[in-house]
Amino acid sequence: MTAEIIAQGVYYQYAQDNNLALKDINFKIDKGEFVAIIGPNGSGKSTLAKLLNGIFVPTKGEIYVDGVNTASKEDIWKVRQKAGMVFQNPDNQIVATVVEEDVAFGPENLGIPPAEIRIRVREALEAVELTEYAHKAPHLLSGGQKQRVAIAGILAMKPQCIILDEPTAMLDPVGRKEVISTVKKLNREEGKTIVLITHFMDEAVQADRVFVMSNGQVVMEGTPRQVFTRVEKLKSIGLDVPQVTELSYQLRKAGIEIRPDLLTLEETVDCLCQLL
Amino acid sequence: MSIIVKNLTHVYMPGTPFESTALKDINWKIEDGEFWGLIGHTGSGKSTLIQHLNGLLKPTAGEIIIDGENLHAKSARLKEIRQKIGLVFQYPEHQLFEETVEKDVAFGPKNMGLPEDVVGKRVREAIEQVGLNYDAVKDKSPFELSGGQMRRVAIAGVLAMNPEVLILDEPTAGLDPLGRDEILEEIVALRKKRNITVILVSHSMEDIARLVDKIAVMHRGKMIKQGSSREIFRDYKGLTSIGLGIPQITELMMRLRERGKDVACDVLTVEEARAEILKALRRKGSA
Repeated sequence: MTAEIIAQGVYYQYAQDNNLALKDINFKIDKGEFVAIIGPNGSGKSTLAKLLNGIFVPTKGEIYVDGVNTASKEDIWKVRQKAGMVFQNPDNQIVATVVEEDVAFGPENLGIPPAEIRIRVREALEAVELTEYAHKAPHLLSGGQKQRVAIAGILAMKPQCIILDEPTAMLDPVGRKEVISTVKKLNREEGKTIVLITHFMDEAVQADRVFVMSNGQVVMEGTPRQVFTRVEKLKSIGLDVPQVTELSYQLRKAGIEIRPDLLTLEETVDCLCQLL
Repeated sequence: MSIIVKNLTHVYMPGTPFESTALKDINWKIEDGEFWGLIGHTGSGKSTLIQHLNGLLKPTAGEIIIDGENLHAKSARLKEIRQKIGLVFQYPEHQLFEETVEKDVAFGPKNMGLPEDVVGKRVREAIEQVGLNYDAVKDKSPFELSGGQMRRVAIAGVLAMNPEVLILDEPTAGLDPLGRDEILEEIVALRKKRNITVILVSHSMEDIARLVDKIAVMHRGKMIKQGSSREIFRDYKGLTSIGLGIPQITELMMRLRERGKDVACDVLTVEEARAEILKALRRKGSA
């Protein structure tokens, strides 16, 4: 597999701040991979996200997106087009008064011909399952729908990689599920590389790989099963595990022999049914 | 302090093409000292509703009665009532504006016209109550603090007014698990210490389940259900059909029950589930 994003010895320091926001970050994310980044507030997650599409450039070290160095000024638009970003608050990302116009905003700015824009908008709305809302006003949509409009706006720019910075923090439970299932679909069916920053452990569990950040560093990295079974370690850095993982951990502490690596509701139900 | 919401209806921009009914005939009674959770999908009217509770919005129809006094009667002491009902908005850190943490928290009590020594005392208490070290943060700019700390300062600003009712709109949105737990624990401690009434608006069914006593459910501008946490979370299908859910742990126990296992399915926390499963295993062992 070829790498989509490469970080090599990346450091980042904000102006007027003596502390480093990011320290010696090194990783590779493959094309088509779904990576979740978790970590406490202030651990550097959002800073890292902004480095991935060249909003910030590293103080030291390099980041490559599909082979392009994000620090290269002449290539910055290539980087932004390759790696699209979705932010936390859907209301801050919507610019037009009609859904399809909002989705068209990105490709219009890329100078795409109108006929091509129409096709892209239609495809993007289909991908996020909002075709029937094309002519609606975005402010009348639910939170989950608005966030999917924001994702469609990114899709219409045909990025290879989508970076989502806490896209579900402001959503209700069903809105959260809608957004995450859209993200997974784009990953599985369209092969988009996904970088998802989240505080919800049940979302991170669905990724191929999880990076755990703390104090500006990636302190753990592995499959969700490898990461989330380290309950004590995660708690010590202020994170959490899904409720079912917590339950199996508690049951083991009480002397019950149960798999220590349960992550999802389904597998926990099956496992407990065998015990009970 | 008791709050009675009677046949409350609110219409935004009436008589214009943008007219929309945000709240429809809401009836809700909040007794002194209760801990309520208010849940509902985005746009269901939660924020509109809580803005009525301290008179920020005026009902199109219906009444808000606070300790027997109609909030919108000509004689109502709106200012006093507002001070007693503290409202913490979503992302309250966006409302910080002063040069120092101390000045920011003091803004409310100062505007109440309290003497300086009382203001000083209240500011210190409020900052400590949200789990911050008063001496360490008082002279800092609120903008040098972390997101979680900024949010605490904003909450302290409301607490410094000594409210009898505290309404929090999504106080933990965007916070990491530790920050979330700390803020929620502080709310619980505060409630015990000051015996205040608390209304928590949240999308986290897990937080609602382990904290509140009673839940009110909003859907499309109507209050469709009220009851104890256990009663409300028993209705998994009903809740998911309106954009909500139940805690993962509650769903786990329901699924075990569906598969014929002899466990109580109305658990609300991991601790309850653990006890319930250990009990079932013991029963099985002795059978």
